[in-house]
Amino acid sequence: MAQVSLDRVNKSFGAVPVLKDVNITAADGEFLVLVGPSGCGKSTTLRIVAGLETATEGQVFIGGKDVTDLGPGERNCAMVFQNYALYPHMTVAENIGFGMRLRRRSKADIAVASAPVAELLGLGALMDRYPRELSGGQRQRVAIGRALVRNPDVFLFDEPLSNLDAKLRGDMRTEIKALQRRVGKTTLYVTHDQVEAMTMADRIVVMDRGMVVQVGSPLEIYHQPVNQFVAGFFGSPGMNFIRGRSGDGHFVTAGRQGGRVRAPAASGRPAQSGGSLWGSPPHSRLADDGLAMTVRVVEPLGIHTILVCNCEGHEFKLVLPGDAMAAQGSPVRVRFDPQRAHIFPA
Amino acid sequence: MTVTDTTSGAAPRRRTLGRVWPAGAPPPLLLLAPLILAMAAIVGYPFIQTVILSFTDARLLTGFNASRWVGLENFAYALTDPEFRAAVGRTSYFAFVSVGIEVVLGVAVALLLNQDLKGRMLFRALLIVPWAVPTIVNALMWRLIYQPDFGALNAALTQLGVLSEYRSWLGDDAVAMNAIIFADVWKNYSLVAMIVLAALQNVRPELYEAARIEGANAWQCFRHVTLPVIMLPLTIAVILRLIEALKVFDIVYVMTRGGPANATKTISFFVYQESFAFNRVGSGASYALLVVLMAMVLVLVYVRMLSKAEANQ
Repeated sequence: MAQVSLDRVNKSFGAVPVLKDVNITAADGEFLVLVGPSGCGKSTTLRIVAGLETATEGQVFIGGKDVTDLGPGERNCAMVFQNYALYPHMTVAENIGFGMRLRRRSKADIAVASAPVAELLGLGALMDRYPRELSGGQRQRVAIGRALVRNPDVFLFDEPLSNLDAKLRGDMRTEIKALQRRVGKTTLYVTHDQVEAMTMADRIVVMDRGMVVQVGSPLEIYHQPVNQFVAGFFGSPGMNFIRGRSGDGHFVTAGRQGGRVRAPAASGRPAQSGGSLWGSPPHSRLADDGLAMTVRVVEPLGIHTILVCNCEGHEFKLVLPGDAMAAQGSPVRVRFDPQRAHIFPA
Repeated sequence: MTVTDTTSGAAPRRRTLGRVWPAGAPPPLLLLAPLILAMAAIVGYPFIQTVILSFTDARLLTGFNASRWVGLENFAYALTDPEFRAAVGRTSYFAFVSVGIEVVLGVAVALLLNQDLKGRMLFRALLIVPWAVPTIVNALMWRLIYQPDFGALNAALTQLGVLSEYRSWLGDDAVAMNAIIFADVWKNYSLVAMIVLAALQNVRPELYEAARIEGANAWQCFRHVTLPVIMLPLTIAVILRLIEALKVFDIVYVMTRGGPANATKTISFFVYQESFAFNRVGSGASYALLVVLMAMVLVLVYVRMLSKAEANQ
């Protein structure tokens, strides 16, 4: 049973504040992903949970126990690093057994505990290799094995897949998520990759400039972003953005043509006189009426085609079915689902 | 020379020089010829001369032509000579104590300078200074510091109240060797520190973090993370220092001339005396060759270490 929570945590490096009033709670067994651009404080938050950094203010609880003043070795957390952090002079087996060796467990004990972990991660044949003899994916598997074997209360992942190539990253994503389900341990996972966040998380914590901006399930975050930052961060391609003003059920763009569209009904926000409209690319389509734009680039991806258009100086992307055709430079009109569009104050 | 290929992810594969040597380039031996010739002239020729001398009873003043072939007589005498044995004992003491202290001090200073402390770059630059001082200058400097009547050490210790009266540091046969060792350590620990510091830069900080999360304390971090990384460079530094300590001559020559009462008479000084004070160059050569043999053992270990280091790259 290990709920992890940060209570009003502030952190400054010298005079530079990097975390401002961070409150996060991960339920027992939850897979919580901290996501945001680099420098948003997500890694610092994780390191504070691990005990590698101390909070300037605030408290950290693990399993209901205040661990704020405990050292990293006393928190029973296991951490997986971006650069794997494998001990180069130890074999795979020694790397995995290192924590137990520190606690003076017998060689037989270590072997017994390591075997199922090696089996689970497919490391059986690699146990006598050194890290330099392994591929990136294998190294990361060893790092995960080293975390698993300790049977920790909490798993901490700090951008574990960033050093892997795209294909491997996709595979490891699935693997880590399945593994977490299997062991059922509370997991905090830091990434700057919105795809990782969306696909792996039970809940996502979006951070920006040292603050928690939004917490919610992947679909909540995707469909109900609380501000432009969150809306722009998620989805690929990201949300489109057009300036304008709204009133009497419509949104009028700011450009000279003054395009007029039906204002979102369910944006959950009162229409403002000035603001910006956000339309999600997959929920926009070509139509006979709607906003006028010019096609700049056509990106066929097979399963679908992305149109990159110019709408009054803004870039506007549409995701169309794979067989959709549009000529570069041709004028089009775009309509989008009011349910999937949002108006934010300017 | 080997080049290691680690791209495959399998065990590193060694390539021989032949594979990387460009086609049509002059043969390696030809390119090395100038160096080999120079070495032959300044090292090879005197060495052969020494070997020949060691089998004769040549004396410095009467010259080589008046000497007689005596076979292994010089060596037979050298190996049973209690004075030579005593010199070997003194040299071993000098070598092990000075290198031992240099290792401990060097590692400690390297660890300190690897910390995130203020003025680190300045301290790192200062670290090189003692090592850059020529041995003769260092020896003269310490002779002045130890000088019994106006030396800085006596002044400092009496003014601090540690000593009640001035002492003759280099004139006391119980102290002189340790005084020389101290002077040698002051100069040479910095080489060890620099080599270890360079090795420490290769340790990724996450390794310490990973170890701390696994519950390692400061000693365990040092033992399991730092030490394995610095072990090989440190061993190489130790062997280099041992070889040099075995040959120690100039610092002894300047500071004590082997005295008082032979208390600092090391092997090299012994050989020097035998050849140039007692004029027995033939016998001196045989002693010198015995020193070379001892050094060769260390050199062999050194070469093996280096090739091991290369294989680990």
